[in-house]
Amino acid sequence: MKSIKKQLMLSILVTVCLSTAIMVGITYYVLKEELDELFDENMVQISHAIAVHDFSPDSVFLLNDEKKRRHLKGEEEFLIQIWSNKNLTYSSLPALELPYQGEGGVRTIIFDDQKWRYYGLSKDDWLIQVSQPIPVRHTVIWEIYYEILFPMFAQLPILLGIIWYLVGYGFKPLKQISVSIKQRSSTFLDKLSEDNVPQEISAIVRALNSLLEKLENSIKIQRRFTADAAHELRTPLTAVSLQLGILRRAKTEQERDDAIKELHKGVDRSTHLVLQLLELARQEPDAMQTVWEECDLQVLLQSLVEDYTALAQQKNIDLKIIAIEKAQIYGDKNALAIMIGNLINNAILYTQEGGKVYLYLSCNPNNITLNIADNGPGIPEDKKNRIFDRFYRLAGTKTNGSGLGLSIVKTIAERHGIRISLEDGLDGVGSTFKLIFTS
Amino acid sequence: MRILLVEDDRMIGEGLQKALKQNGCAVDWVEDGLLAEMAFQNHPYDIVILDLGLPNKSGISVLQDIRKSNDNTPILILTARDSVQDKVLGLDSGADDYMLKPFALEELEARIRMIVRRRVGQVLPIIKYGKISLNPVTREVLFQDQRVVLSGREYSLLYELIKNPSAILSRKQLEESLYGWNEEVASNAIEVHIHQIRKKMNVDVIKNVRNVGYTLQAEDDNVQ
Repeated sequence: MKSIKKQLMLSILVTVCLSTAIMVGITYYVLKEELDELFDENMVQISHAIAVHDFSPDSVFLLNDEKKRRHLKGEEEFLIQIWSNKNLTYSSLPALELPYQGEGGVRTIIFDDQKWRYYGLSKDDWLIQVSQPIPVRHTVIWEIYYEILFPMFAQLPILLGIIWYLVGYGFKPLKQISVSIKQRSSTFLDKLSEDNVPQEISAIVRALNSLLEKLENSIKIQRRFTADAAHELRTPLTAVSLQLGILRRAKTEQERDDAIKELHKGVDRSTHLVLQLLELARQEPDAMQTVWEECDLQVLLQSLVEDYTALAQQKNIDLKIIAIEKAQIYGDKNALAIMIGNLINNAILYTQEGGKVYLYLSCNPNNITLNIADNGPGIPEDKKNRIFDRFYRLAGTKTNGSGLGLSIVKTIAERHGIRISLEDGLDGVGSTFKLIFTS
Repeated sequence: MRILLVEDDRMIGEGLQKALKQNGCAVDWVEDGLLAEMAFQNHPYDIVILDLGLPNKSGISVLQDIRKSNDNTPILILTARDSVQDKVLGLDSGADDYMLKPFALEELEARIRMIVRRRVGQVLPIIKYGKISLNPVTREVLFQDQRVVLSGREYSLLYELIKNPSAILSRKQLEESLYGWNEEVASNAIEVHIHQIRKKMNVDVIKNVRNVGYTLQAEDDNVQ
């Protein structure tokens, strides 16, 4: 796995090595220049020091007795030659027969297959020649250089060690945060502390906190839903078990038949609730992939009315489409059918016998409107905002229901961007569910 | 025994009412908290079976208000709320018992018997008075150690009298404890039941106190 720390360390290592190398190079170059200048200056000084002496044609120079030595001892020694009328009268190392070069500033010459630095100073007929082989000079440059290089390289591991430690220290907040994130679980979703968080990761921490908050909320909703569902499932099961108890102690055929009938109702009710719960779960956003397609609302509405005609007839309810226009909407056809079907079903169930349920579908360039209107008992003003809540049922409702139908409607509507509003129903009573499909 | 059943679910309400009536209890069933309070103020009840999630007024408020008015009618909470907090709140608010849905009918009946028994200060499940012994569990009645077969209403009437043997119960009181709201009561129903009991046991088991009501023959009275 990629590690920022390793990567950082690697780039620091490369940078430090590179900069050390450059420093080493520059040091060498500067050192050489400076020493060259120093030695050149020395040669000039020496020749001038010699020239201070009086020279006469018969001046006698003691020739050095080291006649055989051909090498200078080191950087501290120069080859000094004094020429009189181009005749060599003195040489510090006679074995080295550097030829006469003539007067001139410091320059480089080749002698004995070696590069030499040379300076010639003339005084009357005399010429003082001071020279030094460059390799000798360079030996000393390297000596000094080594002494500088050693600490330079020796500091490298110490430096890297300190950087390693400091980088680790710098990453500590990140480590702490990762530890505290690890502690989080579905039951422990507290926000991370935003105190003492470095600027660089405070944005991450904040984003993470808002994510944690959202997660906690959705888990809370889920938990409440599960708790509600468990609670709601108990009720029909209680009815079933109660009817079983009654059935067991039934003495007459009539009592037994009645109990079985009631038992059936209880089982139907439990089944209905479970199916509604499943439907609700299915309609949750991202619950599953659904096919979205162009749906013909006109056709859909007509087939739904056909489906519910039998139920309406049982209660002698006048169910019909009053106005209809061609309307296309892009959506999940099954879900739309469930949504509209639930609303029609509710209208039929809660409207008294002999009532009316009228449907209106209109289409204009901006939106499509579907009204499902009844002349039933209506919904009290103060309860209107609650009826879409899960498991909410109007007090004193005689019809059996799960309290989930409208929650399903709401979930599907939200998924399709459909607005639902509640208006007065037919003949000044009842209610109208108005669905506005905006494209 | 007259029971007030407060339950907002129709299926459970209907079923319970039916089952308890078969035991000879008078059951008044209401579906919301406010109606429960109204019913409670109008009649004395032997026990209230109370659901917690009620429309208009929650079961807990109903319970708390009843206890606030210094009324100690036995109250049994029957609910789907199974959290410890709910149970503690219910019992601390003055409920005599807390039962969870779904429940077994037999257990509910046993608990009702237990609560009523405790309230009249009885520990033994079999109630004895004079030569009568009555077992509320099996609904078996013995008179002079002989088994007597009573109808549901007759049993309930005898139970009312034996529960509180020193009291004299008026005909109205007996009617109320035997019949729920919607039940048709014949004007001489109580007399008919008493006649039946006397016939099955002995004329003297139930004493008629003129213009006051009925009571059981005291233990030391001579029964022939």
